[in-house]
Amino acid sequence: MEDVSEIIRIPLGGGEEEPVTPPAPSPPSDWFTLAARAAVGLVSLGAEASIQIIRMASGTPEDEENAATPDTAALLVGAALGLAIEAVRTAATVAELGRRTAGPPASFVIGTVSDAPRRAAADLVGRWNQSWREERPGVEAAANAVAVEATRRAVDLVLDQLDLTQIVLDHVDIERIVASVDLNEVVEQLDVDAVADRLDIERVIARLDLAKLSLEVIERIDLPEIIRSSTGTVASESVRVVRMQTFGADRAISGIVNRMLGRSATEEAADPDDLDATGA
Amino acid sequence: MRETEPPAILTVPAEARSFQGERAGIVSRVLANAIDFAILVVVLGAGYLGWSAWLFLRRGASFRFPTVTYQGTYIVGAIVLTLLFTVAWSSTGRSYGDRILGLRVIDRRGERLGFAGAFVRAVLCVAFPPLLFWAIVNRRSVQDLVLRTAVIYDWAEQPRNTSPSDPS
Repeated sequence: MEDVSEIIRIPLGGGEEEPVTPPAPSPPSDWFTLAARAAVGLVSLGAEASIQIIRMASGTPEDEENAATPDTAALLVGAALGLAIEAVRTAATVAELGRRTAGPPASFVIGTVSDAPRRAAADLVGRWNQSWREERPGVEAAANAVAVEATRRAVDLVLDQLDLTQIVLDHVDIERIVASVDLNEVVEQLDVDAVADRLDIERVIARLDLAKLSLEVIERIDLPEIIRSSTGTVASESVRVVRMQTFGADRAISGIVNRMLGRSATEEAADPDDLDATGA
Repeated sequence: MRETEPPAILTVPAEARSFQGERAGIVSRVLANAIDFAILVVVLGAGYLGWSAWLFLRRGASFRFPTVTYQGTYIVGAIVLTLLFTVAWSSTGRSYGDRILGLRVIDRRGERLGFAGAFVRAVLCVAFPPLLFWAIVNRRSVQDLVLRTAVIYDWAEQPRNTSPSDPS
């Protein structure tokens, strides 16, 4: 689209002698033009989208023939947009011309005549600003609530139409993500006791073949041999008593002999020809 | 499952663990020998009755109990006792008297005696019983000193926990 801010200046009078200087940019006009073009563009996009939606809803096929000869609605919309653009371009030109020719005297007159109304307007604007500042928290909260609710509903609506799991599976490299996780650190932060508290030990035990396990344990530790040894060690309580009493008598006699020989029990044990095995 | 040695379980009663493996004193050994001697008497009496029964079956009405001399009894008793000791010490390491008193005869390596060692020790013990009383002095009889054997407290049924590394 042609830039409406580019105005071709025609040299007057002296012709060649007068240097051609580019006009200084005029920011207000540029902003106005830019905003107008953006607005027209947005309207254009909206209109085109509306036309497309109407076509899809009405089931009208969009073939090459229809594309070559646009229907009436599209023609009218296009014409309206073109007219709007031309109007904006003309308005911008006229406004620029007016501002340059009538700007200084108008500002002088306005500055001298409208001082009192301007002050009144400033006071009014100040009061409005004060009112806005007082109402601002409530208004912002309401706006936030509305925005959050609207966003949530919109997100829900979008998510209902998407299979997020499938999207993640298709597009996310999960192995790469897992590889970047320091599992050791994660495990260190785990409360193993808490995990153990949540374990259902009974179910784990129920899955074990306890009978087979018991048989293996009995076989490993040779339990029958232990039972034989235990029962054979002491035939009866009386035998244990006799053994202990004879042991006591042995110790007493050894003590007497050691005192007679003037030696200690350790010297008695320290036999140069002592057995390697007993150490006694 | 890994094939490892099962843990050794000490079957000795708690009150006897403190002196398990120590050399036995004279009282225990004399009592054990007394029991063995009583058994010898029973065996000799049983032998005499058996021999008498055999003679009764052979002679019938002319049967008379055989006359036993002291010398013959001593010789037979010495032979029987030697055999009893030899078999007991070379097989289980303990005679019946030793078993009752919780004793065991071992060699200098802490192991059970071989048949030859058991026989020599049995001959010496039967021939010179008083030499046992040298055990009053240092808990080793003269036979033990000569043959480098020992009699220890061992309440366990099997000769376990008599290895050199075990505290005793």
